[in-house]
Amino acid sequence: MNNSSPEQHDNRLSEELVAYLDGELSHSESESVEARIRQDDRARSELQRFDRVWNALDNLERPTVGDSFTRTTIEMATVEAKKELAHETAMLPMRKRRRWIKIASLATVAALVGFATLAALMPNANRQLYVNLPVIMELDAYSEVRDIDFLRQLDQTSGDWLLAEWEDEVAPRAQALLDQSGASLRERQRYVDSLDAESQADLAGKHRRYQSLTPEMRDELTDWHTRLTNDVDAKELQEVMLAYYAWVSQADEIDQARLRSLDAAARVRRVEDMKRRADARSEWQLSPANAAALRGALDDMADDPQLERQRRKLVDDLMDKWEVPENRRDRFKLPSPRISIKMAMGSAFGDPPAEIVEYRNAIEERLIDALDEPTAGRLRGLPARDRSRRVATWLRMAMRQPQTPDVATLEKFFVSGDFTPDEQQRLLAMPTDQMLDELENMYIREFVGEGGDEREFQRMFGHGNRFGRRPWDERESRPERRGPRGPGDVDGPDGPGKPPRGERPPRSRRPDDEGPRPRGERRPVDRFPEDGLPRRPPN
Amino acid sequence: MLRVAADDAHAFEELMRRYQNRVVGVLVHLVGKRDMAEDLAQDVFMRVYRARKRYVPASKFSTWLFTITNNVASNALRSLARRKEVNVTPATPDASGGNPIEHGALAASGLMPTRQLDKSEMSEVVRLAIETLNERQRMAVLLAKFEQLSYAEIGDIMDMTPQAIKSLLSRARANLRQVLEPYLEQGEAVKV
Repeated sequence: MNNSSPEQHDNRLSEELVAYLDGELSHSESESVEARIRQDDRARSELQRFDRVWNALDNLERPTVGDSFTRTTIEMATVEAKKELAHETAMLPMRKRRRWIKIASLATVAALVGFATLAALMPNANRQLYVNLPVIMELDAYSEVRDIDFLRQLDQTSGDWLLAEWEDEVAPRAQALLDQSGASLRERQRYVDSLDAESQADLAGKHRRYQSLTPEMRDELTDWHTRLTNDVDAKELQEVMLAYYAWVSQADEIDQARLRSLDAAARVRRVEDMKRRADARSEWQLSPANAAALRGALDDMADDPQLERQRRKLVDDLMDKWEVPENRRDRFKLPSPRISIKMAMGSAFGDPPAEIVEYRNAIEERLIDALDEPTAGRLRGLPARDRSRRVATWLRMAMRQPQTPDVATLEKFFVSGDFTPDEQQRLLAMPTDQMLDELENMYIREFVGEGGDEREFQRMFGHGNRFGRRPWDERESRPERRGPRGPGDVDGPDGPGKPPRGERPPRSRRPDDEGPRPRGERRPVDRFPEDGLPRRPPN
Repeated sequence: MLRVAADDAHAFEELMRRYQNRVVGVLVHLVGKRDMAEDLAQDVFMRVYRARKRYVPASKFSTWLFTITNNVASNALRSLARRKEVNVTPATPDASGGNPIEHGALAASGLMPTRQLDKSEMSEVVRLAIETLNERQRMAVLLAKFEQLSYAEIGDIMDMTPQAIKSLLSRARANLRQVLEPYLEQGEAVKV
């Protein structure tokens, strides 16, 4: 007869159910419990309730500690090892009979002290760098993103395109981060030593910034790094973090701050939104490569005799159409081919006569042919009027892209141009300002070419007055920025976007900022307009 | 651990990196304070280091480590209780009668079981639920849940028989159920 109270009975049932869930019952006991829960609704319900509550414990936060904890504990062990050494030393005289054993033992303790000293109190200014190397290596990325939920959601929603766009940059960094996160101090030291000078300087700069943080901020970053590396998806999340940082670094500060202020889900939505808008814009954005291609096509057309004949015929036809008397036609000066092409394309915004439309169509086709295939395809899909206007706008933008000649450009022009020794002497004899003015004039004449004049150049590039010159360093210098650089760097994720990876302006084209091409590359008929003679005999 | 015992230069650092979060994780929930838990964890590792030569390979290292952890935590809690500095062991559910949340910090937090909790709220509820357990129940729960140790191993650590651990865990889970169920009543609505 069972004498237990209902409460005791309940307790026993609970114990059996809990032990069953914990896998602590024998085979026969488990079978007994299983039979019970099949037959007894209450027992089954109890089992489910215990299980559910146990699973709820998964929500318990698991705190983590960082390198500083390890470091200080090893330092304590070092002190302990020293104490042991001192103790052994004090004991030595009392153990003369086994002296050789003690010596061996002391050597071991000394080795440990040596290790602990090296590992924990390494007399090395870089110790902090080695201890916190993973955080310092990616200091900016760790500072930008500190939310594992955000990374997880970002990985699911945007991971594919982020990693595809930034794979080249991210893959080696993520691997290095992964390697160094699990590396010992000595391995980290070897890694730092193996870096090239530029990377070491970059790391040193990050280390200085890390040192400037408060201890609380440093600990926070270390904790964050530890949490991330302990995650089951650590590798994927680190890659996404680095890719996101590379991407977001291209955004302006306001967008970056706005993104940081959002919670995980809203931040991911905002990232996707920015990406969509950038993609939509970049479809109709003139890439540097296409701008260079348009300028190249313009050069080619300006030198094309067939197109030149068509242009002259167009002028004659128009004069006929407008009934300009023969004796007055020589008053109309033919602009340079480049100006004619630009003006013809500009006619897309008006309602020109059919003759101009015909000439424009010929030009337009050549310009579109010069563009990359996807862009050309998109253009050809547009209605004719829209297409012509798009090409006209792009041509104008492409022609504006070459920058005004600064001192560096003019000096390069002087050095690479085929000036005769007399010309060089004459220029060098001038005061600097005058020499630069003269070079500027020659540069413009060179650009405009046969039949052109300075006003054309100014119209072409929108300079009503003489353009200013910038100093040397202004031309090359760019503001220092955080984070990785990449194509599309100037415009950022919200801007026109970067050209496809690996895309560069065609090598056959002139670099965008070089102004007129070197004289040696000019068309064969390169003569002074005044006398029609070659400027210099061929070498 | 054998490498540490043999004064292998890097083994102690490696051992720390492998176990430090687990030890701190247990101690934080045992003593309830992060800074104190870290101090105690350092004490644990120093004891491990000092006792390295006495380590017996026959026993599982984690069992040995958590035995030390349990001793360190128990000493610290006794010391605290004597000094009455902080009441780190909240009253058991039975002592307060009914659901302790009605009387404790959960009630003060304004969390209501009638709405769905977000992840951080649920984490806080569970933390406070763990705090309602007594010291031994808490240790047994943490070792069973997060270290996945068997009753026999937990018994070794806490110097109790497996049968006693079975009863202890059963009572602990009944207490947790009493505290947490109101928050789980929404069933699967509690998404974390």
